[in-house]
Order: sequence, then C-alpha cells, then structure tokens
Amino acid sequence: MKSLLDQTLAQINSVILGKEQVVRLTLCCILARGHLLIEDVPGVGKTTLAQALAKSLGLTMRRVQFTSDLLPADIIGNSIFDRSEQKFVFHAGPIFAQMVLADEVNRASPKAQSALLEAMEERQVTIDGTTHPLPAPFFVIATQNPLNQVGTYPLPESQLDRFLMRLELGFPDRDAERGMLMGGDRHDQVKDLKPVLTIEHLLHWQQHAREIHVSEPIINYVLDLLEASRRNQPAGGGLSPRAGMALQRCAQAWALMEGRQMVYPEDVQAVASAVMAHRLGGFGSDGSSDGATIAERLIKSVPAR
Amino acid sequence: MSWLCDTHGDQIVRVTPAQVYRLLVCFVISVLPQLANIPVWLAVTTGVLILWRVQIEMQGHPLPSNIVKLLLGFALFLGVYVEKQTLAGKDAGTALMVGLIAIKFLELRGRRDYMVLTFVLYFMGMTALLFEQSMSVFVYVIIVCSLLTVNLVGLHLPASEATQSASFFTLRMLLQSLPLAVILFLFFPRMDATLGLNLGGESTGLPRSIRAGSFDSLTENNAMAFRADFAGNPPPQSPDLYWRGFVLGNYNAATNEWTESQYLMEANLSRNLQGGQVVEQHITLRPHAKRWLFALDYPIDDTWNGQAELRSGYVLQISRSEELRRKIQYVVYSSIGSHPTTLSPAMEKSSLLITGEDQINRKVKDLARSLRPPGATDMQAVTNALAYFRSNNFSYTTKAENYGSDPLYEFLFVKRRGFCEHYASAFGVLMRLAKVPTRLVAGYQGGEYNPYGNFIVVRQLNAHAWAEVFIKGVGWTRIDPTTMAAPSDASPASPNAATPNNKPETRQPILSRFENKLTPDWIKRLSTECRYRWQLVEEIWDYWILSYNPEFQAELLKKFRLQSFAWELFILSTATAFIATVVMVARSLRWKVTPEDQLQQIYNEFCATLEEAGVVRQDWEGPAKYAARAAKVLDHAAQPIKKFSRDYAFLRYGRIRHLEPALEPLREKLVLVREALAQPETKTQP
Repeated sequence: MKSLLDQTLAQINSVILGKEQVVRLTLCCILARGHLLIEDVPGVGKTTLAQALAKSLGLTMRRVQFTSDLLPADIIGNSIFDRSEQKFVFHAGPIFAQMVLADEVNRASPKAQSALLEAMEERQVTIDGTTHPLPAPFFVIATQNPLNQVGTYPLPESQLDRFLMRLELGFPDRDAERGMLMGGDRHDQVKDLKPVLTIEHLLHWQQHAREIHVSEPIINYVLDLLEASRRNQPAGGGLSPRAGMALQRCAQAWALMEGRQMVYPEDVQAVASAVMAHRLGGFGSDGSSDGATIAERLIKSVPAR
Repeated sequence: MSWLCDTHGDQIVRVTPAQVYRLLVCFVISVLPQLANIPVWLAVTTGVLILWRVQIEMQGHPLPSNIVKLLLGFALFLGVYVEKQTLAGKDAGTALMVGLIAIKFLELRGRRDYMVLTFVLYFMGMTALLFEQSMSVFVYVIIVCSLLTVNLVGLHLPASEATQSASFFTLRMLLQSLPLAVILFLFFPRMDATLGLNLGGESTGLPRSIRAGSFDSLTENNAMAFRADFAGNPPPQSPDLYWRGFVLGNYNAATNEWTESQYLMEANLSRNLQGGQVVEQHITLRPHAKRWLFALDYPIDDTWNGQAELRSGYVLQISRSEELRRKIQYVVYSSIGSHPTTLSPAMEKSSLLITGEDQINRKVKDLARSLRPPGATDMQAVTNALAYFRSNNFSYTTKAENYGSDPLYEFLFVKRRGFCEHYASAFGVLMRLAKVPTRLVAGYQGGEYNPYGNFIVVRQLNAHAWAEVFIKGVGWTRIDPTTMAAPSDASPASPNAATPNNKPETRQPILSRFENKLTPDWIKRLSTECRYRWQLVEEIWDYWILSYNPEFQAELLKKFRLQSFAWELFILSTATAFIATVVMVARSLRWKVTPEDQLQQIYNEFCATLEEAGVVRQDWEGPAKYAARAAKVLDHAAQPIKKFSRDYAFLRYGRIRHLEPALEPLREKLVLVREALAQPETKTQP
C-alpha cells in the first residue's frame, strides 16, 4: 500500500515540482475525507495540482469558476421543465463529480459560496424537495486568491471551518522553476497522466485511515492543543471542537501514509499547521501573525504527550 | 450539611434492608461486652426490639409511631432509675444508651438516621473500656470500630463495589491514622486529675474496719488489687509477702470491731527499724477508693513522688484527703524482716485499750487470763495464744457464717472456724486482755508469682489481716494467727503457692475435685503456663499503655528536656502528624503506579540519558522526532536510540493490551543506549 501511495505521490510530484510536502498534505486530506482550500496567488499551479490529483486517483473532475455573478444553481444544478415528458427534470450541476475544483471561491457572492459549502458539508444536494446524493468519494478543492486583492468576498470563519485543510503552495524554488521551464507544457503532462489508484483503493484507504489507533496520550495531546488555542484568546477565539476532530482525522490519515497503525505526536504536528491555520484566524487582519505562525507557536507551546 | 440530607433532589434516599441488618449486627456486637453490666430485663427488651426491627424490615411494615417510641423511652428511663436509683454514672448511663439506641433503630429510615446511629454505635463500642481496659477488651473495641467503619465506607461506596474493597479501604484508613494516634497518645496533655475521675465504679478493696464478716465479699473476688515488680531482683520468699495496708489500733468490744487508730506522732520511722533487708518494689495499684497504698512490711519512706507519706504505724497514706480512683504506679522501698522498735507511752496505752471492756464475755476474759499466767512474759502469752488456736481444732473457712450477737465468743468457743479476720481479731483482743500491746494490720498476703515476668500479682482474695505485738527488746513483731488454723500451709515453699484464703480442699465442690483428678498433669501445667504467659502480656500492655499517666508522660518529656513545652509540643507534633497523614492519604489516593506511569518513567530516564549526552529534548517534541535528532547528533549510539524510541512509541501510542511484560525488554534497550553512549565515540566510527 505504501508503495502505491509513494507511486501516486511521485507521479504528482513529477508535475508539481518542488512541493512534496503540500502534495503529501493534499493526499492526506483526501484520505481523511476532507475538503481542501488552497490559497495563493494565481499561476502557482493550484489548478494543475487538482488536475494531477484527479488523474492520478482516477477520479472524475469538474471545475467551477467562481465569479461575482455566479448563482447557486450554476453550481448544484436546477430543474428544467421538459415539454416532451411534461415534467421538471433535474439537470445536475458541476458539483456532481468526484472531485470538484472551485476556482477562486472568494470571487463569488456569499450566496453562491454557501451553496457550495452546504453541499460539501452534507455530501448531498436538495432541490425542489428531492435529495440527490453526491458521488463518493466527494472531494472539493477550492482555491482562493489572497484576500488583499481587489474584488473578493472573504469566506466567513464559520465556512472556513468546513475545510479540513488550508494550504499555500507558494512560489517554487529556483531549481523547481527551472524544471518547469524545461519540462514543457504542464497541461499536456497532466493529460498524459495515468491513474495509479482505483476508487476502490481510495475508499478502502479512507476507511482504513479511520481505523488507525488513536491512543489516550494522543487524545490528551489534541485536547491540550485545543485548550492552549483557547487560552488567552478573545471571546469566540480558539479552535472549535470540529477543529479537534479534524486534527485527529488528519493525523490518522497521516499516520496511515507513514505506514503506521497508530498516531504519533509527530503526525499531529505534521498536519497541525494546515488544519489549524485558517481556523485560528489572524491572517489578513493582522499581517504580523498569520494563522500559520500562530499554529507553529501553538505547537511549540504544548508539550508532547 | 448536605451529607446529612435524606433527600436527593426530590427523592428520599432510604437505606436498604441489608444496610439495616448490618448496622443491627454492629449494634449487637458492640453491646455484647456490656451484657454483664446492664440489667437482664434491658438485655431482653433490647433483643426484642432488634427482632421487631428485623421483622419490620422483612415484612415491609411501617415503623412504629412517635407515641410508641416515646412510651418506650419513658419506660426505659423509669426502669433504669428504679434499678440503679440514679440516671448518672457509667452503669446507668450505659444501660440508658443501650436502650435508647435500640429505640432509635425503630426510627431508622434515611441516611441521616443511619449516620447518627453509626456514630452513636462507635461510642457504644467504646463504653466497654469504661468497665475494663484489658488488652482483650481493646482488641474487641478495635474490631467493633473497624466493623462500623467498614459499614460506613460501604454506605458511601457504590452498591457494586464489594465489601472486600470496603474492608481494604478501612484497613488502609486505620493504618494511615496510626501515626496520628500514636502522637496523640504520647503528647496529648494528660489530665491532672491526680486521683482520677469517679465514674461510679464499685469500691473494691479492703474494708475500713475489721469485724466478723468484713472480708466476706473478698474471698471469692478474683479481681487484681495490685501488681508488684521487683526491678530485676528475685522476689522475697512467701513468709515475707505481707503487704501492709493500714493499721487498726482501736477495738470496740460492743461491736467487736477494730477501726483505724487516731493519728499518733511517731518520729524517725525509717531509723527505728531494726534489721532487715531493703527490697525495691514497683507497684501498680488499681483504684480502691481508699487512701492507703501498699508495700511489703515495713515501708521506709514516702513514695509516689511525695504524694503518699509514711505515717505512724508504717502506713503509706495519700497526703491529700482524697481517695484513689485511678490506677497509679509508685516505687517503694521496704525493709523486710525488720522490727520497728518504738513504743511511746501514748502508743502503749492505745495498744492496750479496749473500749467497753465489760462487754466482753467472761469466758473470753478467763481464756485471756489463762494464756498469761502470773509472771509470764509477753512472748509466752503470744505463744500460748497461738498454741490455743492450734490445739483446739480450729479450722479455716471462707464461708460467710452468722456468728450471732457475740461473734468473739462464738468464734473462740463454739464454731472454732473462720476467716483471717476472726483469727486476727480474736487474737488481738486476747492479747490486749493479756496486756500485750497489740494492733491489727490489714493488707494482702502472698500473691501469684509470674516466673516469666518476675512480678507478683495480688488479688482481692489475697486480702488478709494479721496482728502485731510489741515484744520488749525486739520491737513490733508480726504474728499471723491464721496460719495456726492451717499449719501445713504456714510456710509455703514457693511464692506462688496458694494463699491461706483459697486453700482448703473442702471448699471445692465435689465436681471440681473430680475434675481435678481426671485432668492429666500436663494439661494443668500447660494451662498454668498459658495463664502466666497471658498474664505477662496483659501486664506488659498495662505497663506500657494503660499506665501512661501524667507522671509517666512528664517523665518522658523530662527525658527529652521538653517538660516546659508540653502544650506547644503537643500542638506542634499533632499538627505535623496531621499534615503528614493528610499528605499520605492524598498521595495514596493519587499514586497508583500504573504500567503507563512506569513506561513514562523509563522514557524520562531515556531523555535524561540523552540530555546528559548533550541532546536536550524540547518538551513539544514527539519521541520519533527527538530520537531522529538525537541519533543524528549521537552518531555512535544511533542504532540503540532508534530501537528504543521505536519500541517506546509503539508501546505508548499503540493498541497495547498488556503493557507490563513489555516494560522489561524496554528497560534492557535503555541499558543498551547507555552502554553505547558510554563507549568512546571514536570506537564505533570507522
């Protein structure tokens, strides 16, 4: 299993150069059955990452480009009256895919954002009283421009909480960039990728990740982290209980990727920054201490159990 | 006072039948030692009330109404008052307590009553100590208290927990409270009620005067009067074992009664003793509600830290006009085999005085005259009198008999048998009639020698009276006319031989004589030995625990030069012990060393080892990361470090069912790490 995982990672890394850690976290996020928020400036490979991932995992992928005039129906679909059959027929929107890439999610109005996030949370869509389940696995990668850019509707914190992880790709280093320039067109490369995993593999591993043993000390460690995040915080600050569960799930998936049957504190620490940063807020409003830094500090302030 | 609440929200917490039965059992057990002290009707009533309570519980009847309980209580008070003529004192108090507790059981409904009853039962159990303080009673009281505590703990444990864990908990609690108890015992300031609290105990001991029948109550009384230790020396032989109590110098012929003489000044008591050998005695005297102390003939000095002075007639008497109501210990020196040599004219006069001499029967007077023919010396008169007793078939008996209106005549000429007081009294009268200065002495004679403890136990049945006559040129001489009645026992070979009082075979019922014959010798020997050993244990208990009185405590404090800090010391040591106990209890509650703790301990040792080698663990660092970092720095020990931390992490975070067996291998791996670190770095590097 580990070799299969490594193979997948290697394939994605051959397209996204120099971002091993982010790729790894992305995969971890999928195994933990969470949704991913990628935040970065345009052109660093957010879309390419999503496509490479979908190809390698053998998932169907749909892309929704969010704009300020996007309506919920454009995402989840709507019912249209069919004359020949004399009734309304549901036309599924782009969200009915195993992997959905929601590009520039903060450009859309809050209404459209909510429609996406509801679907993400419930893994089903209800239109005109009919409930339509979304496919499994269902995985949303939302990308977002840095908030200080013009024309954005920042996602409220409550909705940020729905994303299991938030990642930043960042600019590649010089060597990686050189590799990109020499390697030819990324789109062609992605197109040529062959699925390494099957959906069965993925579902099985997702199941397996949930069964990774979380021992008493680890639970205590997570609780310590939550408690520390809430200490000395203004009202409502700190990590939510959902964040605690997210942390545990991600750590389990990470441990699985490490080939272990139990979670180590290192696993928690490895995913902590990605899981906690967007939930701790702070970014944007206060440039000096963004979420990632706070998360780092938090980890260093809590003794490992 | 929420712990006393009977309600839990709106719901009344009732005690279960099982709990009621358990408390009833505790009640019965705590009352058992009192059965001899409470009236029979009360014991029966209590039994009936207990059975009634059991029946109520079994059949689910309602508890009796307040009026019933009120009437029962009233009847109890009345009954006890009629029986004891008082409601105060330990006898009446105990009786009331037993009855009232039995009635209280009739309204035992909720938790509050249960707690109240439990605490009252603690007191009930301890009342046994008011009556007797022997070690066996102590053990019994401890058992009662432990049972109650187990019950109390059980009440507060969830029903699922077994009695076993309650017992264990109780045992632990008792052990934990032990240091505090010891401190309290040693340093709690003893009340300086020098002569003790009168709890209404029966005044046992010698009668104040001697007349026919005054010793009757003592002949069967097996209670201990006092114990005498001899400071490591062998005890005196039996003929010298006359424990002097007090002197009776006045004789009233009208009542045939000897009473204490008036106070006569007698100077230089100790210097007036002729001959003899000084013997040191440590005497533990039980309370006898009189003022005199006992010592072998003749005590030579004041004793009991000067609280008892040596008075005329070589009588040791408590200086204060109070009576002895608690047990005391004193050291006294006696000069045995000696003779006081003074006889002042006033003393001589009083030693010959017979009040109402004309009341004495003529025959007695004739006898006295015949004992001292004209010209005979005092000594000859004495010898003649003794010879009269010996030759006229006088016998010894302890049976109380009616000697009629003229007991002296009746004894000398009709019955010719009697107890020591008859012999001593008659002898004294005859001697006075014969103009030999005489006085009677009351005290104890003999005693049971315990070879294992080298002490003599003197019991009430050893009570004795003898006479002293003044022989010119010798001094006061002890004459024991009672020995004339049982000449064969006059000089018992060993000190522990039976005393004259309980001697004659004829006194024993046929059955016990039969039994005596059938019992093999070795059983008798064994039982004697057991008795001695047990007595020794009891006496050790008595000496070290019960006799820890104000004097003993003061002495102990003096030994450590702390006598002026008694109160401060007490508070200090009690506070220390209390805090120590609390800390200990708190720790024992928290400190359960689980295998997980041991695992953590091993890891801490591992971290300490690596820290010594220079790699300090950040406290947020997980084991794997730390080991990787350490392995990089401490290259020569990389393998053992990695192995150890891999195993540790596996044990710590893995799904381990039985951690304990895995700890030892882990320790071994830690040893390997240490060994690898101890080796010089260059050796392992190629």
